[in-house]
Amino acid sequence: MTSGAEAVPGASVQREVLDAGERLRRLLAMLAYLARVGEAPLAELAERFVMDERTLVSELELAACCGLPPYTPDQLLELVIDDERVVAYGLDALSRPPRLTPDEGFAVAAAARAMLAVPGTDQSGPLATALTKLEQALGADRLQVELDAPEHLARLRRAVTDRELVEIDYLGAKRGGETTRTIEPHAVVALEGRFYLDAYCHAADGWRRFQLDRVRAVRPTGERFARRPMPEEMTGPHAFAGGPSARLALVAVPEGRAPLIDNLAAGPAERGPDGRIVVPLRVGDEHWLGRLLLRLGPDAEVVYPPELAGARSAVASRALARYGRSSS
Amino acid sequence: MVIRTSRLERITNLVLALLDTPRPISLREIGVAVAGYPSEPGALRQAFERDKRTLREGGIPVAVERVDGDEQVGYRILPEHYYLPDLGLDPAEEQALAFAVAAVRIEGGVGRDVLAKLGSPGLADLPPVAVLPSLPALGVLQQAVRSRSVVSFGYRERRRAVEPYGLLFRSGAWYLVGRDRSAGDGGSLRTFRVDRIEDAPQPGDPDDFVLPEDFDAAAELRLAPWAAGRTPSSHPQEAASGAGAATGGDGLDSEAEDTEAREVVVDVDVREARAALSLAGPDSLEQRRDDGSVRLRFRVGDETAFVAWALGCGDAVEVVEPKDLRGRVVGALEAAS
Repeated sequence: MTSGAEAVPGASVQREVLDAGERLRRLLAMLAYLARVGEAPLAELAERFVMDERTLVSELELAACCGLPPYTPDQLLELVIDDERVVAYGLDALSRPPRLTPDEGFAVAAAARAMLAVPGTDQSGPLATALTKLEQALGADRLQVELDAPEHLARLRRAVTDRELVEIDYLGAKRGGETTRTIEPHAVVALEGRFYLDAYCHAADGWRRFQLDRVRAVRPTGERFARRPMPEEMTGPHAFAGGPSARLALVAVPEGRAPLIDNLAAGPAERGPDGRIVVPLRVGDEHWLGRLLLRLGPDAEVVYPPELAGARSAVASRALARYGRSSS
Repeated sequence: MVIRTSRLERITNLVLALLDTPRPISLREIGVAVAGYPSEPGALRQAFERDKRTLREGGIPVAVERVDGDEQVGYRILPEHYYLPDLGLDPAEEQALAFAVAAVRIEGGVGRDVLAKLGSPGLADLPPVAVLPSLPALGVLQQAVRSRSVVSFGYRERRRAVEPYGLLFRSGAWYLVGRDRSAGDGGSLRTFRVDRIEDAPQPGDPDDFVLPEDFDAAAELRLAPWAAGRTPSSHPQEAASGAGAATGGDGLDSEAEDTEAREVVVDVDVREARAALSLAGPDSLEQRRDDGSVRLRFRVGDETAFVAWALGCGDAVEVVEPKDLRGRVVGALEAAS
């Protein structure tokens, strides 16, 4: 009870500090923008600064009450807000944008570095020179982003752009599981450092997420396809690398090993009745889960769902067959 | 709600007043002149310190200067600390930055509106070309690299004081490479996985160290779980997530002494060839076959971690030599099958 009563005010103060800082950051950026353009439609401002119009208006009204001592009308920020637009006068002190916050500086540099790391990006084009100028003005950032560079990346990106129906040879997760499929490539995206291809697969008659470094060959079919709407699981903010067929599993691991999979957790971990830590995981592929369990050791196991309980032994048997074959 | 609104108003007024003043102003003057501050000295001090901290966290440092008078210190925001320097971007560069920010999704959504500050055109959301995880510590760490400030944070249950040399995104995770001053012997080079940092990193004063001239974080980062000198086996690396292989890098900093490293030979089929080669390094490649499989030869310091890695590769990897490690893998597979 005591600890709970102490924790709550502390937490709310923390939230308020972050909140005011974030709102200030946004407000100052917005005022600098207004000072430069003079006037702007509310809808455009709301989109540019990622907020809804009602919040936008209340922030602008607040800013209109700010100014310099003694806060006589001539010393206040002059913002005239009507139903559709806002007009700004005399924001001289704020007419140039404030410096980037650490988070903003990181976001810009990381996005630019990631873009440069995508194979095929011009390494001496405007993006590269823009980064050099940012570094000159803000200091060397020493930020590096490495992305995978699978063999067929450029070919498949072109197929996406051209809406080209292609045939691919694809290695499954299992040994010897190579398949040939006709697919409609809709998007190529790097998730967690690896490139994936989101495509509608004719053989499966459904959406599939392919790991690009397992695509062994790409052949043209000479046909085009019409775009289909992609499912939310692939495009949404919580899209998971495992693709739309991923399901939830609960894996129990000894406490000392739990940190090994905490970055895979799909939600908060809990302590099970036997003292082990139960971690929820999104499993796109049973074979992947089997390999993970082998790595975690004999004391880790699937507690849910029951049909995944055999994942480890299935992979172990297949691996043993490989050793058997080679030693004979 | 009322309180939060007035606080934002108060800080905005503070920014305007501190930017406008030609000379540092004292706390008492702030209390009298700037709208929104309490008059009681203790409460005033507390409110001002809190606002100053919020400003600093937002990248706006309040300069503290010595002045005549009872209070002896005054405050202001120096224009060169507040305004974004002119970046001199041409339209093509602004466009390229705008495109990168729109096409690379930084999880957590930080910085979508940063384009307005840079003068770049706003672009609607594009289908992402890449998605990068974001962590609250990254902005602070990058800023510390830029300003060459030592950062302190908790990691593996110890306080660290680290000269941050660079940040690197590899195999789906962010790493900080730097010199850990708390490591003894005048400090040594360490790799920290940013998502394992236990609290908010605290930056110290700027210009506190010199960046090594030709430092390359990518070359320093050792992710192979079996690398000599890694902490043994209680920390075999975890898996990469997703439909991918269970063979991602670990990146825990190496703190154990070098053990005797032994040479191993493994056959890796095409599914894992690229991942294994990137862990073991290009020098490990002994043979590449037509089906895309490879034979690798490399030295292993932490044998238990190596065995865990091989097991986690399932039937994609076969340990060929040495015989005893091959035996350990087979034994574990038999127990699991």
